[in-house]
Amino acid sequence: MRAPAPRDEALRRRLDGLAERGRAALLRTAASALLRERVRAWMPLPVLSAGLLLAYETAGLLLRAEGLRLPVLAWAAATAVVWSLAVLADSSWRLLHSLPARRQGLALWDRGLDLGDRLLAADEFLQRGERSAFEEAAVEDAAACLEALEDGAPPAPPPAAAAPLPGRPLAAAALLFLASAWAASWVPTPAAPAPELAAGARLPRTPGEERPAADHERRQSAPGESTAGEERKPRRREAESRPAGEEGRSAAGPDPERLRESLGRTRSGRPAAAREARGASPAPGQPSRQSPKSQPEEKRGAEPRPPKPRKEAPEEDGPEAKRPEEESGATTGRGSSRGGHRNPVTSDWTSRDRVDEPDDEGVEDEEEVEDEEERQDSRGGMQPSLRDRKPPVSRDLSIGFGNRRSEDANGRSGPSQQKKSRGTASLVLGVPIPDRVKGQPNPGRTRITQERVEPRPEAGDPPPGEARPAPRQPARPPARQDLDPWLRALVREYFLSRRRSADLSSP
Amino acid sequence: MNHASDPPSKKARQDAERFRETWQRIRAEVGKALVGQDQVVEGVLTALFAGGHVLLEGVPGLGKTLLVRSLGEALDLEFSRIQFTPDMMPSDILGTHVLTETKKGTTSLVFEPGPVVASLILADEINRATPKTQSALLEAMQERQITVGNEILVLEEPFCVMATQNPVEQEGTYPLPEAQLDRFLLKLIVDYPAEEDYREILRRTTGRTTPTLEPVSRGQEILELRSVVRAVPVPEHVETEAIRLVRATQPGTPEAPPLVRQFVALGASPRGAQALLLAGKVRALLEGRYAVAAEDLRRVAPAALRHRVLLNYQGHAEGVTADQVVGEVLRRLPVGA
Repeated sequence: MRAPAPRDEALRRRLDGLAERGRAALLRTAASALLRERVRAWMPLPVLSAGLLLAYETAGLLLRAEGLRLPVLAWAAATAVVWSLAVLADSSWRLLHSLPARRQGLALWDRGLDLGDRLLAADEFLQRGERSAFEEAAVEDAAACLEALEDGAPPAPPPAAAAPLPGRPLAAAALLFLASAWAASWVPTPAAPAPELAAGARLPRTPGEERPAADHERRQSAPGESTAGEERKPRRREAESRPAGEEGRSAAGPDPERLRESLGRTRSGRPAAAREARGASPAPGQPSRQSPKSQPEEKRGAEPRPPKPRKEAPEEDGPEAKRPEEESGATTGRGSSRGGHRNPVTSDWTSRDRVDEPDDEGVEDEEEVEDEEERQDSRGGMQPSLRDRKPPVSRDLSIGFGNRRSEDANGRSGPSQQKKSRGTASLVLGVPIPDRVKGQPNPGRTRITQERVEPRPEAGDPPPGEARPAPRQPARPPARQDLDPWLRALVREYFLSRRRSADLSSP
Repeated sequence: MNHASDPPSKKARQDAERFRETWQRIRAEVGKALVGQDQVVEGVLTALFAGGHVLLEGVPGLGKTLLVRSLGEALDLEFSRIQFTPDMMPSDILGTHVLTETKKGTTSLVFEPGPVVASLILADEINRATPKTQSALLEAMQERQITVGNEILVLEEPFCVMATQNPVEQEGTYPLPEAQLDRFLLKLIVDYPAEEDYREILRRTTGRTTPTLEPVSRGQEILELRSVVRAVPVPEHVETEAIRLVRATQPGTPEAPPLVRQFVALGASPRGAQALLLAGKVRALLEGRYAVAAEDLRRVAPAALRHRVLLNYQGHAEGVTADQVVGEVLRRLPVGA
């Protein structure tokens, strides 16, 4: 069915008007909210810039290096300009990417006035050539709403969620700082003459001699002579002179007076320690927090080593220290790969558990007898004991090739030092047969201690011997001891009475 | 409304008005027997008019069976109740062939339909039956037909399965498989009645008279109103909203909030989007609108999506519920335009 065109055109114009008003309201709200959000998000830039400037200037004051100072006014102006441009650019960029569409303008009316998406549905249905009865009813329903909204103000858009991005202000502050530091060396400023390069290079090695000459040359130098190369070279030379200066009297430092004071407070004649102390102390007069170094350590490095590698040095030696233990076989058998190159069940299995057998000649091995821990780990059977929480023995049956041992071989297969199997299967290469004592599936934890002790005489007095006396009578059986007459008569009477009472008739 | 004389729009308006009147009549008649539980009654009627099935979950004694029985009486539909037990077989539901004697004196196998051959099915405690028996309902719910042997019996419309299950007694039960859960249009949580409803419940159930329900609608009218529901148009931005809502329950999609990515193993399927739109059409008609709005989808989203969200092990361990997941999706996903 075809809707009447004039009515549709009128409805479209009304919807267009509502959509434009809604979009304008959304745009105003979004712009103001976005500007506030961006200002808040970029606020770290001036704060960081001020902090960096303050730190830089403080460092310049403390080191008394005029060249380290930046032009404050230029810095502040640059920060303000960069901050404003960043806020505007970021806001504009985001606003361009979030321009409200026509649907959003209509949705503002629908959602704000609780119209149940009537306007959105009518706007869509009006664009269709053929409309169903319900679509036509929906359009008419929206037309009634449009008449009521003709002069109304658009509802307030809901506040949008803000997502601050602190990374950009941080990056901008860092860039601003680097750019200002670089530009400060090119812009002639009265506060930064910076003749350090030539003055520092000509400083005498004796601290007492260098200060007047350096100050004199600094005063004589023109302000415009400060260049980037001249500013950086003294610092670079200072770093280069640290290893070479066995006396440590690096005259290339930017502040010879402070260096001399530091030297005098800490250790005279040990400039490396003095430099360390100066680097650690935030201000003159404060004691150094670093401990004095030993003499060999001072002479060693070109640059002062950071404390972390020195601390980590023992930790790095840890695995190397453990290596001999692994080589000794104490940890073999705990993993399929780590201990694979060692035989986890070496000859101590047969030697210790069956030490009482006559053919166990291997128990004479001195290592196995002396190693008490390995002796406790020995098992009577081949089953892994859960008590020690060891991983089960690897079931990898791969064998080595030639004389090379397999990575995962554990001594049960392939060429190994000693084959631990019996019977016909032991003659077949690569077929591991666990050695097992019949009748003892799991004898449990055995502790067999051996002691190789040579027989030696014991200290003590033997019993004294004595002469045996001759017998008094010839040897014969012992004499029969007769009963008393009354007892004999009693016994006789007893048996006679028994005979009389008994039935003696034969069958 | 200057264009009320337009025949097509007038017909639509009359259909919508008729729908609302029928709804109110049924609602009032069911309210004679069931006190309170407005959301549950609305959900059941929504599923009935949308042509879907509904799963009622609640502890015993809250009126689930009473609701479905009352609905059957109010609609004058053939009502059938199946009490599921662990020893129930599929033939107990679908029916079986019975050897009968004909008038000529011979015998023949005659199909004896089971209780599923009805218009309104109450599958009581459906999770107590074995999966084999539960799956006997699959074909009936989805295809609206049953197959017994070589015979296919098309079920008569309106056909609506209303299953109940007890969420607390899980011992000896068989949780419904995902395939069967997906066939329910809505899952409604039957909660305890409000305090003011208790007095009315006691008065109605302990007095001398019991309320008698009269049929206020017919099955044919239900079918006609179903076609009215289907005729409600869905704007494009509402379709997009339904798709976004369903995709937001799937953990692998960019629309999914962190809660879904962390605790959900399986999200809603396209059947979830269909359920959103069908139930949203019913809501739009009830709200007096002629097109579905995004707020309609959001209103029916918990009932339409909660049984389609499968939590993973971590979600179960953390005590996360499907309602929390759907609520988080609705909260995190802005309404599109």
